[in-house]
Amino acid sequence: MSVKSWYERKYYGEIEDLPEEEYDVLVIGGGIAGIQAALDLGDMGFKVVLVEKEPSIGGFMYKLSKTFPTMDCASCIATPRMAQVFHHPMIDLLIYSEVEEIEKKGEGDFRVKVLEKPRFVDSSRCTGCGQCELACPVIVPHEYDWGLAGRKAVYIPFDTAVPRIAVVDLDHCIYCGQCERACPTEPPSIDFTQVPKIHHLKVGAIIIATGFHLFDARLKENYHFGEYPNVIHAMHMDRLLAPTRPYHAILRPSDGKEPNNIAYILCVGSRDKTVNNPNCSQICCMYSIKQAQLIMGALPLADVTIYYIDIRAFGKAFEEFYQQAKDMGIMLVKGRVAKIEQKENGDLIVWYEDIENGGKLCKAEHDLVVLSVGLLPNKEIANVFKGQKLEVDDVGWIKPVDENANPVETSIRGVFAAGTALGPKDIPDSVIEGGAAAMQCAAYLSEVRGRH
Amino acid sequence: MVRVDPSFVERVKKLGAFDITACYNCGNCTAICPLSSEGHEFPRKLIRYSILGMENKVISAPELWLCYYCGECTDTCPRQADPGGLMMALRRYAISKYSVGKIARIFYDKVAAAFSWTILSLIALIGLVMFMNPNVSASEMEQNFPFCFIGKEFIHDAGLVLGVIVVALALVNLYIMYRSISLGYSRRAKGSVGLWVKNLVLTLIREVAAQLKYTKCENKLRYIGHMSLFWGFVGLFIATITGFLRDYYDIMIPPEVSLGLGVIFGILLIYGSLYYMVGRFSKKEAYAKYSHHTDWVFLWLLFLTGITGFLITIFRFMGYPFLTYVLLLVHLVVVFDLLITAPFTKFSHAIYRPLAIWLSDTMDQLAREAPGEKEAVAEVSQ
Ligand SMILES: Cc1cc2nc3c(=O)[nH]c(=O)nc-3n(C[C@H](O)[C@H](O)[C@H](O)COP(=O)(O)OP(=O)(O)OC[C@H]3O[C@@H](n4cnc5c(N)ncnc54)[C@H](O)[C@@H]3O)c2cc1C
Ligand code: SF4
Ligand code: SF4
Ligand code: SF4
Ligand code: SF4
Repeated sequence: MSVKSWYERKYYGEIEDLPEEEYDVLVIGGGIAGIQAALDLGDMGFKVVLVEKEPSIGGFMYKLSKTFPTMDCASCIATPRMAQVFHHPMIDLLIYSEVEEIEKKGEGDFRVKVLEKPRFVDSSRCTGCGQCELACPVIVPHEYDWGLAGRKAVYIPFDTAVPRIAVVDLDHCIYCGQCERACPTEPPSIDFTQVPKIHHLKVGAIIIATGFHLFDARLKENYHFGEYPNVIHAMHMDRLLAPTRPYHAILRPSDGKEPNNIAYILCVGSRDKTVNNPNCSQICCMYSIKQAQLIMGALPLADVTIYYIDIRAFGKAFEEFYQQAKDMGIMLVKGRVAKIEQKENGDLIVWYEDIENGGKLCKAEHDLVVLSVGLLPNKEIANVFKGQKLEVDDVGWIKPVDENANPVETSIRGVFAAGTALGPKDIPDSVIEGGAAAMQCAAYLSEVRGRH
Repeated sequence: MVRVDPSFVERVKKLGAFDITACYNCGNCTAICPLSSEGHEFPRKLIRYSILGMENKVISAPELWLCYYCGECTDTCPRQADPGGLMMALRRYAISKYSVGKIARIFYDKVAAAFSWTILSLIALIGLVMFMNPNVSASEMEQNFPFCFIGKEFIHDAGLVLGVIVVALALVNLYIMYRSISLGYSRRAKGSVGLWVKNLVLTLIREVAAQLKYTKCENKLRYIGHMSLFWGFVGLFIATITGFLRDYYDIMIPPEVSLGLGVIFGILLIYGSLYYMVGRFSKKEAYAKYSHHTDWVFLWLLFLTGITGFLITIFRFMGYPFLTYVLLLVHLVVVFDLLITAPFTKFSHAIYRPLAIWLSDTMDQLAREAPGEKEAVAEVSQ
């Protein structure tokens, strides 16, 4: 939700203005890239503030099943890092907060306004016991599981959330007060009198690690995502395969049947000028192959077919990972699916040209179709800079000053970027960039401060 | 062995396939195309042939004529490579290839075409003026209106000669096309005469008279527009013939019949040509995004034929002899231009399309009955 609309809401009487605080570095975005940057800077002795707009840090990574190509448990790697940031003496977190405005007064001197949204839960008292959650009568789709499961109007973002504190979703709350009565703390932690707060920060440098969002698959009308229940996207499937998965089974949405003939359609929303994104998203080939292999483990009798244009297996051990998938019996068909039709029983028919077999026009039936959606930039951050322009490319990814020699410094000196805020990439590359941005930040700070 | 010829695609690009080299070979176009079918997959295959420069593969492909440019491939192509535009460009290319002595190339070159059409119009004009009869008396005019102005016999004879020439040229072109297309089928399965005749009749009914394939395109208005153009033209042709039959062969067809046919089909032809002109001006649909000059000339000639013929009838009955004469002159020149060049311009799709459908349907049928007859089309997938 945009910061503006929080103001426009008349829920709150006033906005609380806080006195100025000083930090060495502001990190925007608490995904794996931002976490890495904050940790590296904190370990170097810099005072860091990390701003995250969601009720928990973590970004995409903690939601994933395993990571390609090593098949490590993603949340097992992400969760300790999230805790480490939380407990780090040099790092402060501003959770559920968004950067409103950044003004550069001079080198090493940025003035930042951050809006902290009210959780309506007192974070100093809430123990994360979840009693409020049990009591609340309102059930809505849970963002964490991409809508596959439900949550209450008051909820703990997820089991390993950092911080593990409840939050009230006012858009769905019916103000019944059950949560407040159920809360065991004294007095109850639920507090509907909270108001938004504005933090005024003075920081020496900034790292943008605001990540990506998924392509909205509804825009590819011929795939009927959102209309045919058994057309889902890759994040749904990653949730269905994760150790923290919603129903401990892979079930298709229309009737809860276990699918046994699953199709993957690659490059949905990527490499596609009809949706204004000519770029390759770089990870979807690999995450699809990863998921396909996991499905082979979870549903040994299922057929999995991946419809691709090209398989981009460019990283270390990626090609072997891809060949392994073939050896496991995953079918790979060269041909972009042009359209999907739904049968009465919810099964789906995909139309494609089988390019490698003489270009035959084909139809194939599947009981579940997974769209391997691409990555798109979170563009809002470029608009908060006052008087200075943060350069972005045609699609909206942050453009570094020098793609080759200086890939993490942005067009504004003292502002760096890391991870998928700069363009599509996988976890290891995001982590590397987090570290690189931290390093550049440290160099920048000692340079401008040495000059004073 | 296939020789790669990179200059081929450059030539095709100039005919309207400007973006085709952006294609990344994904097959979306073939799979979305409502007219592509198993055994006749297009347009991706033709894109590969074009980019590799396999000219023989291109001009022997009946698929060129199975595409009605409904534009769904172009609208959904992820590279916006305009595959429908390529199919159209290849048809332009094929028309110039199939024609006797490759005469059609003249009409696909802007300068040569402008020159030729001017000369042809002048020839028609001079011919007509030479046989003009300006000193008609008022009574004669009443009697023989409007053919006292230009010798009726002349029009009749000239029309017959023109018809014979055009039909002869068209037959030669059709033969060239037949030779090209049968190249794609290794041994020509002969088949019985009965089968060929049966399929010819079926093709004429389904794909000429009713144009059923066209109905598979999403935009039904375009189908109606095309039917109006086609039937408008055919109907006017019939109306003209009824006039001749009455005047020369004393077959008693009441003039009202000719008049009625003329009005009805005239309106159809004008509607059809206007529909396409508006379409091509507004450039909204894929097929109209780019118009080659041959598209415009064809449309204008059809439109002028319809509108002048229509106005002649009106002025004639309202009694404006001078206007009628002038329009008749224009009408005859336009009809001459349209018909004499028909085997070499866009007009010729009217004969190539049915032939391609007839040939491919029949040969497919023969191939299916005798497996192994049809050579597997060389696969160019990468
Ligand atoms: C289906 C799927 C499967 C994947 N599988 C793998 C895999 O197996 N292996 C692998 O290496 N990679 C995988 N990835 C890629 C991986 O998720 C990313 O590389 C990684 O999450 C990028 O981390 P990040 O920190 O750059 O961005 P994110 O994880 O997107 O984190 C960005 C953070 O910034 C916050 N934020 C955004 N805007 C603002 C703002 N204005 N103010 C404050 N905070 C903001 C967001 O809430 C978020 O917490 C997968 C991705 C998907 C979609
Ligand atoms: S007050 Fe709102 S959040 Fe609390 S229990 Fe009722 S509906 Fe749920
Ligand atoms: S990574 Fe693969 S699926 Fe994703 S856009 Fe690139 S080619 Fe397509
Ligand atoms: S023309 Fe477009 S849709 Fe067809 S194969 Fe090429 S890129 Fe794909
Ligand atoms: S223009 Fe229409 S008929 Fe022609 S190839 Fe494209 S989709 Fe098929």
